Amino acid sequence: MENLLFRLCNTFSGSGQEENAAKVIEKELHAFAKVKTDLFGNVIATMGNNVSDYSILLDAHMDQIGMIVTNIFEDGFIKIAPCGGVDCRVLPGSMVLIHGKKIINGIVCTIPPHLATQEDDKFLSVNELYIDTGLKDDVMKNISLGDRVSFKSSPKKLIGNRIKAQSLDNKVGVAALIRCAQLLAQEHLNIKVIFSFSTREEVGAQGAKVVTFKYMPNESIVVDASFARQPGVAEEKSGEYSHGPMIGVAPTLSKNISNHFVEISKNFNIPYQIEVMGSLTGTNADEIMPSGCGVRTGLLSIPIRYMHTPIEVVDIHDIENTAKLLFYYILKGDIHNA
Amino acid sequence: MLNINLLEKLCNSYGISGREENVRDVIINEISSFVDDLSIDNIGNLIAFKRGKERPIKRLMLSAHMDEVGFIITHVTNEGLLKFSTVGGIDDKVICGKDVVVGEKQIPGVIGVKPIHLLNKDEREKKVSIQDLYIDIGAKDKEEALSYISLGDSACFEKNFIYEGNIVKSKALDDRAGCFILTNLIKKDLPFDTYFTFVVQEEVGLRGAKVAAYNVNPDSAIVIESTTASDIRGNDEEKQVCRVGNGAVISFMDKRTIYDKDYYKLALKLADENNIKLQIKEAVAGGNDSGTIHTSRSGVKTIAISLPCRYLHSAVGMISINDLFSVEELALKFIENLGNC
Repeated sequence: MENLLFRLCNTFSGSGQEENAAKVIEKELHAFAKVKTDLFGNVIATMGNNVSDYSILLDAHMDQIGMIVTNIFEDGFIKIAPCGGVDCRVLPGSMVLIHGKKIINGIVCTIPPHLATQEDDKFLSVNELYIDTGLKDDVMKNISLGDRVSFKSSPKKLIGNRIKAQSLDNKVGVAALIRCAQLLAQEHLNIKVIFSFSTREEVGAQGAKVVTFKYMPNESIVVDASFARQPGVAEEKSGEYSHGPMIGVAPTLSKNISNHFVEISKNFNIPYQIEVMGSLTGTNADEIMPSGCGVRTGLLSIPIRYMHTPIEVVDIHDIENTAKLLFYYILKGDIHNA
Repeated sequence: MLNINLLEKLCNSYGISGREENVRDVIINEISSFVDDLSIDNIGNLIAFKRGKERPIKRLMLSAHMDEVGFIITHVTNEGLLKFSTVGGIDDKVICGKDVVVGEKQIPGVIGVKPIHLLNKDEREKKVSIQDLYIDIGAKDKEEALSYISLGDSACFEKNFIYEGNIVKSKALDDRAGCFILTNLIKKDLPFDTYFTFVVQEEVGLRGAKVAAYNVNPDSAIVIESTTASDIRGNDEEKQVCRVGNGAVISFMDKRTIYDKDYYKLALKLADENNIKLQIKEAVAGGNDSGTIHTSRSGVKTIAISLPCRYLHSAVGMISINDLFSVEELALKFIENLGNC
């Protein structure tokens, strides 16, 4: 699992430019699933009984937040806009990668404290920042408007079972789905299982929208990252590390599916926690549920800290347990009555 | 010849003020076969003496500091998170979301922030106070954290050295680039006997240099330092101070020192005669070890030859290798000149 997660997080997949992650995912699955890519770059892998009249769509978005090049200057500086909800507070004085014809290292500009003239308690917004590559020729040759920019932050193991990386939102979900597929590959399935690794969630969930319309499943489960407990984050808005998947409960989600998840967790001794949301979920579930003639939808979330920063942190057991819960849900669940 | 591996090794070493041992070991290993005397003084300064072809009239000392800015662990919370103080001047704004390594065992950690989704509009661009920040090493509670680290352990920005297109991007260029220049000079055949000091604790008040200057007792001193280049887009030209790529930097005055007039003029002359790129710092800002060296004992004629470096005191700075050579060349010309006067 750790290796899989590292492979995924080492592959940049800014919204709208997910091709490299798509390739990694395809490689993980092609041995036991039928894999294809659609018009939006979504990776769709199908398993199980292809002629079954019951299908379930499992979705995890594979894109990650990042930035996009809006201006290029001959002196080696560029300007950027956010591509997804980037936190401007983590940018000054950090290294970023510009994914042009080749990958160029840049530094997000900041003025050193020696020269600060007044106490300034505001960060510059992403649009106001400059990135300094220090490389004049390379910039003009290799960087084009619209190129994506990522943080420069490699996955790393912290102590215990915790992993730090960028794009854990939502490579944790992708990893859980791949693991679930691996487990299902050993089993006989009566129904059709469609895995969707969808694009562009961070800019409006366009990928999941078109996948759902095309396959019109009988039900759908979304797996995404949610908030783990940390200082300053309210208990009711966050989950605990190592306490298993967060089973989503919301007016927009199927209550039966939520209840069913709880039941399965209990039966198979999988740790779980409940995440209650007042209306929408802020995930692909919001787009999938009202697609076409409507899809009963459930949500499993994996708690991570420091979401949308270069240093998101997850407890790896939570990914494993999410995969396990999904696996038993599909295998043993009384899906037709869900 | 450029020994980029050595510069990388120096920058990649972890050593905040008062914890410079790793850096010092790299330097000792590098210079010990090139010097005639090598000692470590009471507070950890490394003092090297190198014989030249002749004895100088006045005693000359070159100095660079080994320490870097960073953090020190002050408290561990019940949740296993590490509270810290900054060591040296670090802007609150360059700390969020950074990778750090903690303690001698180099335990990886991160400086987290509250997710942007949970911030109200005002909070989204508001400075986060250091009091509200902490380092997360993945520990599940206080006990687990304390089995990996101790109070008083240091934390540094994670190493991130890159060399491409004659540009170096790295943490701790302030002042490992200076240490690098000194080691290069030590390996040359020098015209006059020279003392080289690699000093501790610059970032917390120029403390190592004070003691080194007392111990060496020089008549003349050259400080090799990295200084604040702010030639970045969006910053007015008059606020740029000095520029990466425009050569070595000399200063008439900063917050700690009014520089020796003779040496200032000599720098201009030597640069001109030898075609060395030189620029003058266009601000009275910052300060370096000259501050405590020039007032040592009965006074020391002192100049700082600086290397322009962007994004000083953040997780990553930027220098030009051409500038580094300009600093080295000018320093060598100074040694040649000062030996006779």
